[in-house]
Amino acid sequence: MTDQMMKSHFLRVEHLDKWYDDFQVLSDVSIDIDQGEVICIIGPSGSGKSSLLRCVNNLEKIDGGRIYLEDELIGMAPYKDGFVRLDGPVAAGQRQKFGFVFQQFQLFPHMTVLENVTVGPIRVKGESRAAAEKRGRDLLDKVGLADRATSYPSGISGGQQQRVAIARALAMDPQVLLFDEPTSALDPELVGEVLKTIKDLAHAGYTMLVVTHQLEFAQKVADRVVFFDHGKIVESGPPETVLKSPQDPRTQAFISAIQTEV
Amino acid sequence: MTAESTSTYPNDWTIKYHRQFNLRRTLVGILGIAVVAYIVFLFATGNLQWSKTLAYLFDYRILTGVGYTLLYSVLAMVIGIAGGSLLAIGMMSRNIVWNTLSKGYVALFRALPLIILLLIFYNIAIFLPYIGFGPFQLNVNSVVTPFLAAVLGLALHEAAYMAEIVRAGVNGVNRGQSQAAEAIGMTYWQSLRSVVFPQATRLIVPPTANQFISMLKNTSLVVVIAGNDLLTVTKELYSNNFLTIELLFVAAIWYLVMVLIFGWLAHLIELRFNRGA
Repeated sequence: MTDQMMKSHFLRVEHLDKWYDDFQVLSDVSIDIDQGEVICIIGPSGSGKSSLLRCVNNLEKIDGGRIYLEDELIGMAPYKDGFVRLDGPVAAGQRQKFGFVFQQFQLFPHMTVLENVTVGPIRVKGESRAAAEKRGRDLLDKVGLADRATSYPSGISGGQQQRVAIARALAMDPQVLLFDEPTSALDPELVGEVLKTIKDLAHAGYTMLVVTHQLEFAQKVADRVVFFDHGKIVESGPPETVLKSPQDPRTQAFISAIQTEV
Repeated sequence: MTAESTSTYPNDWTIKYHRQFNLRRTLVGILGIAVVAYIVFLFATGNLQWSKTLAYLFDYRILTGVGYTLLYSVLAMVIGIAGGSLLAIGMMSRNIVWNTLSKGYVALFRALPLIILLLIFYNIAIFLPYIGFGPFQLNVNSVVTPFLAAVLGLALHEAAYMAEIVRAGVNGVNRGQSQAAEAIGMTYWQSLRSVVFPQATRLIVPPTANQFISMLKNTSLVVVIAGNDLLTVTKELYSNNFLTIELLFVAAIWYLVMVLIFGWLAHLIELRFNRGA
């Protein structure tokens, strides 16, 4: 990594380990991601996909391995013969570089749609209200919700809420977008509008990690699909390979199970 | 003909219910009325001059006492809410010193009877005649009046209860909310201020209104340190004129009026805060 000649990847996840008490959710997970790449992570529930995303932006402490964004070590700093976990403004500053979209949206219910989008720029970045609102309206327009700016989250549909959550993440100008099963809490008829919004972002060149069960979406949008099981990467590669002709029997079983859901 | 009548009289199928006479229900009802009538009779014939109660109801000394009772309640609640919020933050803090201190404070002040606290603060000068650093000395005896002792005792006691209420309110906010705040780059304090506390308010306000109502009545304990509140004034009056029951009824009526008014306000506040749920 200190070798200037070696071209380093944009986001590097190296040998990640994560334990919940005595249960290992992530074991030796490594992924390199280039700028503008879209990675879809699939796998059975409980396999550690969501934990991976939460570790990448330091919402949760990692027990082993390293995460680098543009060669900056994420979540910790060398100290004596080990490390200290970053907290306070430094950790907050690092988290800003990752936009996170939650399965359960997690919009702030006491704020309007526009306030949800502008609270970060105003409170965290110290932008002026006028500038933040102008930008916020542009972002709401981008996700197709310009007319709902003054609504409260309780007054709009789940799909609309998730699109507001995406606009809220974009408002912080993140370098990486992390989606944690963004459509799993939605009624089936609302899934499409959210997936379309995410697809537009992928085409706009955002670097994204998307945990999803929507194989068709992964097929169309992902540059690479990663199959996860029991906290390990089982298989990864271009979507045609992983989704259409998977090599590992666990991947084959998972994909056929999802496709015979009906 | 029939088709027309059903369509013009859609109420044909409505059922008209009657109440049937029920002997047991009637007797139980009469029993209740009899009990109340007997109590009214006892009060009316009791050894009590109602005219005196009425006369003292708006006596300026009594009204001053009512004023002090309200003042104590408001001051103790304001300080108690501020202190309780700080304690709640302390109890949730990862700083082990502040965490232990806050929890210790709450444990201690919830364990001590309020009346003991009031007596201790009133007599604190015996224990600490002077406090200060070097040349700055404070004569405790001249500073700690019954008024200050009462406010301190009530407020420090209240802070312990408010700490638990605030903590429960903050814990009641979905953990995902603070994570969402952190995910857009907020620090712990920014997320508390902008995201968690505004949502916790909805959970904190109704029990706080209840605390205020309890406080109105608890202030009567300052009678032990002669704090000029409603009960102190009442007691002073009846020790001079021996109209004991008459004056206690005056105090009772005022407490009742205050609690009913603030209870109604608390109900309105609760309705307002539940609306956005």
